Amino acid sequence: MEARASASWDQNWGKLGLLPLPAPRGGERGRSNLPPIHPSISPDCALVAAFALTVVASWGIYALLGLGIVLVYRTSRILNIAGGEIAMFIGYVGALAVADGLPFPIAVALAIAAAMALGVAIFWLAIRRVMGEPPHVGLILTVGIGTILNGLMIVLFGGGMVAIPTGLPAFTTIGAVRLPTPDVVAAVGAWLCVAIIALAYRLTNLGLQMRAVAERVMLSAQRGLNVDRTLALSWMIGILAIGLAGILHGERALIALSASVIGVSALIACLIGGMDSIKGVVLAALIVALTENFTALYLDPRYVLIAPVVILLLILIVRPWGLFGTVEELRRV
Amino acid sequence: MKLKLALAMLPAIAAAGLMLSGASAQQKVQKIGYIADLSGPMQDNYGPIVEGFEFYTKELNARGGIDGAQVQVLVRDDQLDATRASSLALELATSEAVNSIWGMSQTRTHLAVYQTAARNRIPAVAMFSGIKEVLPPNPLPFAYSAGHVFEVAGEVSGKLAAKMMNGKGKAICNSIEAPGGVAACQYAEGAAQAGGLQTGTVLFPPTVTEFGAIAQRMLAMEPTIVIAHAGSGQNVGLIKALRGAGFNGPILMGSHGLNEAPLINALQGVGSLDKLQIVSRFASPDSPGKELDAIRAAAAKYGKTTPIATTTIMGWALATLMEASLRQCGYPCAGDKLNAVLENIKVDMGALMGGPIRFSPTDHYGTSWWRVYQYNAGNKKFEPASEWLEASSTPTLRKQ
Repeated sequence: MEARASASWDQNWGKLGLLPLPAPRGGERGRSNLPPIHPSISPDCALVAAFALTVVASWGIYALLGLGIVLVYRTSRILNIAGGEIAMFIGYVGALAVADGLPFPIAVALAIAAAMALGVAIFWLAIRRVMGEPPHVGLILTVGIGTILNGLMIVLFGGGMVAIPTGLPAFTTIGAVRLPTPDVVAAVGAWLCVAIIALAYRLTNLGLQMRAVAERVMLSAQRGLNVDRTLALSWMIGILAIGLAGILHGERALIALSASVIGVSALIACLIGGMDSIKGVVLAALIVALTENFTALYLDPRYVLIAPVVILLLILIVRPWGLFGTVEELRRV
Repeated sequence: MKLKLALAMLPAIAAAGLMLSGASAQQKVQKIGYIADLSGPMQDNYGPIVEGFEFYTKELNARGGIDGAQVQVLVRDDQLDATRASSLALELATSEAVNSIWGMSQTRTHLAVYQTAARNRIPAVAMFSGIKEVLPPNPLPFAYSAGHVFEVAGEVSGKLAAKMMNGKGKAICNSIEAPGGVAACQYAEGAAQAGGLQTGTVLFPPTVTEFGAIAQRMLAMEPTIVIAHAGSGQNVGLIKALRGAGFNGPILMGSHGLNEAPLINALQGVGSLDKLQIVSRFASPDSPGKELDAIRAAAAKYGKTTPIATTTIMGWALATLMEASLRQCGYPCAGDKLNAVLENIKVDMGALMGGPIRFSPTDHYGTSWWRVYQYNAGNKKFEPASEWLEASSTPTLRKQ
């Protein structure tokens, strides 16, 4: 054993077989390794295009997750700060289903069902009991929900880092442009979900009922609206949006306990945009996504999670209710 | 008559009972402690290491144990928390009177366990990655490591990168911004520069899981080879993002506790994997050799349903060291005596590693041997691509 191991590096190097690798094409440095989007596009342009797609995908995921937070805040006035944990929990459900051999679409359907069930369960078992209590009670409740989900993710799913492979080819060609499929799926999927949920909120009867409860809960009840049912449905849709964001994050990146940090990014987007503003959260999600990705690419990736918080602090100093939030009056009796 | 018979039998029954209880009191047991993160964020890494350790111990006890004493492993879960790890080490050393602590989690818990163990005069032997600054020969008696040390792993990866690229091109190292990751990249850069490469480093927070812009930043630095010293899961995200951004060059991963099967599964469909390498101190799960056969047989015997991983091999190798040290110590074996044994031990690891685990009074880490494994897309396995390469426990090529 020792004789085998005592050979020098150079002696052993001759036995490497596969190594050393051939010199890189296109010169000494690795410019040739930059994204081959199109022969007519320079590597720098290719980098910008790849960056743009990354931002659009992140923007869509934060907007979808933020939308889930804003929807439940509008109807129940509870700030759900367990968004990241809920996203990862549903993401783990999807990842487990794919790992068990289910096709990606079936796994997503299963995760959607789990998200809807979780939303209704959270409302009926916890939130309904604190409706009408001071806002901090509901907030603390969501802290507890996040902690419980964190523990469940460790017990049920192992808490490791897992991906959700779609089974699609690594690259998608759109016209002359070749793009990474996970980012394309995440961007298209997230924006489709945002559009459907926002339009449903604006155009359907259920959306009308949710808006009515959001604006005048007592009046809605007096007019015969089943407030509990409407609130349950709003939590179901809100958690569904959050869960979808988790699945898309897992498809594009990773599902992990630590990835619940995407909930912090989405919450920052909600606070910047205004807690009760759908258009605010969509716009602010762009600010957060752009800040994070710009910091990673052009400044220093070590500050990627701090940079949006700095933006939030600056905006809160100027507009404490956010860019599009409603200034709510305090009523004291 | 029956009553008389029963009365006559009483002394015999009592004597038999006394003999049995005496025999049970004489049942020899050697208690050892094992601390690792078994339900925290790194449980995926540590679970199989403990499993490998326990498989070996069961086989050892089935062979009669140490001098007739059964080895009892008291496993404790530190959840990657240094305070908890320290408390558990104290509990094991005092309440349970173990003579040693094995396994251990990351650097952040190593020092806590080492210090508690040293105060109680029992050796602590780590198998997972640590940082040399908290290991001997710096002044910590009773502290040993048979696992990856980040500085050594960094230097080895940098040397390998330079060799792989024939001293031409640029190596970009990446890792999490934690002491181990920073140290690994400092030495990787130093060694790669010494080998003729230009270098750079990209660090990111440990909680990052989306690597799109980080991969683009690395590409903008024009790498010809990427050296990855992040965690196993983060490597998946990084490789996915690098390949997605169009980087088709080699990616050399430091194996800091790797479970191959989940990594390979997660990497399917992310683009070309034909230039994906791992540099590891241990044999790969598919390697031949009687020691590997023994692990596979034990895994099947004790009902393991998932494939063995490098981490399982790490646990088995650590237990091999445990058996050798306890045998030399004899029964009963106190902490001081076991420490004296460990300070002068040399254990042949057969096919598990490239050379023996050897500690000396001035070197509680020892020389290590490293091997490159190349991913084979045909059979979806990492296969040996080099002989074992020797590395000193005192790396010198830190980036200035």
